[in-house]
Amino acid sequence: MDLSEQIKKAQNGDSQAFSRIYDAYSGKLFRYIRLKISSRQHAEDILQEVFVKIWRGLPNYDQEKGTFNAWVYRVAANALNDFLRKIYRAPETLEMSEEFESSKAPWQQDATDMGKVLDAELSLKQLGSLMSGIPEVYQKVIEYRFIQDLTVEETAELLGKTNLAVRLIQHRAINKLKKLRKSNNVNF
Amino acid sequence: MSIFRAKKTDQEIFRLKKAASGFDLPAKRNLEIKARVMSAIKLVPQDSAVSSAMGKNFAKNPLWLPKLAFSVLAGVGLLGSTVFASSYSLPGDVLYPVKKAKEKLELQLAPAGRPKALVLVKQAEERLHELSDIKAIPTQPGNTEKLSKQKEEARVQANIQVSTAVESLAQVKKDLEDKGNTQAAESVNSTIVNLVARAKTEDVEVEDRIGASGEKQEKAEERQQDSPKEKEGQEKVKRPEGEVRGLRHKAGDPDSGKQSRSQEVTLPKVLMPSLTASSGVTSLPNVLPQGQVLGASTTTSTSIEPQHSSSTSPSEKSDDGMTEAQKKLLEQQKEAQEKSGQTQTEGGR
Repeated sequence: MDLSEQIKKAQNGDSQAFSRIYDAYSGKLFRYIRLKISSRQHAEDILQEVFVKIWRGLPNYDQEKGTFNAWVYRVAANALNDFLRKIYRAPETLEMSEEFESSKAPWQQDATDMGKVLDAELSLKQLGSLMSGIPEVYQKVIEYRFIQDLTVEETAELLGKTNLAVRLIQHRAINKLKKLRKSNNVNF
Repeated sequence: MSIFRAKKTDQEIFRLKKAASGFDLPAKRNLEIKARVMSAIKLVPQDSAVSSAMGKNFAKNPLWLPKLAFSVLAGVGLLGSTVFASSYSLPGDVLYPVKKAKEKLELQLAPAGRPKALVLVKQAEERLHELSDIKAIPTQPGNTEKLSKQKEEARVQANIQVSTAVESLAQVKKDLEDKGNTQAAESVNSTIVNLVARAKTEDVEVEDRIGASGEKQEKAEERQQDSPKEKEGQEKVKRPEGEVRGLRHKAGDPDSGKQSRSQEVTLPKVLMPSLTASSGVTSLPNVLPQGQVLGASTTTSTSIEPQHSSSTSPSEKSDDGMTEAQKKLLEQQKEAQEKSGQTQTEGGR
């Protein structure tokens, strides 16, 4: 079923329709949040909060003012800012072990094995270090296109560029990352 | 060549996506979070239609708050500047009512007693200033009529304001003297003298009853205190309507007993016997015995109308300060007393 139809139903309080919206956006939003927050546990909490906020604010969403995608990311950005502000006011020490403790993350117990998780974390760190070596606009296009899984159109809208410009930046960014990966002898 | 390049790019994208999969939320964990969210939204209501409509309106115009703040500030500024500009206005000007309204508010906000009197003095001085300002305006062929009207208006305003201020100050002075604070009373007196002197320089006559220093008023008050009966009498002569109404009720309307009795209590002592006699009221045992009053009523009832017609015109006074109505009433009183004396002597026999 078309997402816009689900949005309209959810605006009228249909929780089933909202469940479909959750399915469509949870992965994207989690990646977006996870990029900014190092703690997986906190990222999950924020994701939950973001969806509750989306539910509450759905009647305020006006299709004429922008895409639903942009609105959803705006809600997520606000929730992230709130969280970061809270952390800034009351700093909290996060231990590295928290990320790898199977008892604290039930999904890890069933994720085939711990090795995959560690590989994923390592790949993320390597990708992060490579990303810091390319221009900011390249980083954004890579983030939107391959981490948040947005379309070219959505990326163009968020960056205020044309579709063609986004495709061009994406191509250059991939080439640059490839060169960096080879020169640093990184494999992920 | 291009196909080969595209293949390499796709590989790179695949690598990137694989690396980014570290950010993915595992399916099981995702389901758990979804279950939590779905149960949470059952408890959390969506924003209401009203608030959402408001949100839409505000969202359409993101500058609503600065605009609102600006319009409020502009409104306050405009009002303030109008009130400020009105302080230089003169009688007949467009902004003069604003100035008067401001002064009225000022007066109402001032506490009773000395502060209120001081506000009145300030306003009286302002009226005198206005008068002198208008006098200073040179007459030109076009504005002669308007100027004379303004001058007249200013003079009237000044007269009223100075009189009110002096009256109020005199009251304050009296209160201070009663409390024994002679020094403060003297200071108030000097304020009165200064104000009256200032009024005289502007050719504004302050009413005689007030007195230039308030002393005359005091004397008048003393006189009133010495002769409260006279005062009472004067007040009642000035209010003939009540008497007439009372009499009419007594004579014709039997249901108006209460009202007529209340009239009797307030009536002056000079008028009392004749009125009771004429109306046949029997509730004044201290004045005359019941039977005599009733007897007298037959003789004097015909003279009611002329009495009241004359009493309604207190300006017709004789040389000794009594109205003709009062004289007639005195005569009637004497006659009634004589008759009562006769009946008493007859009863004694």
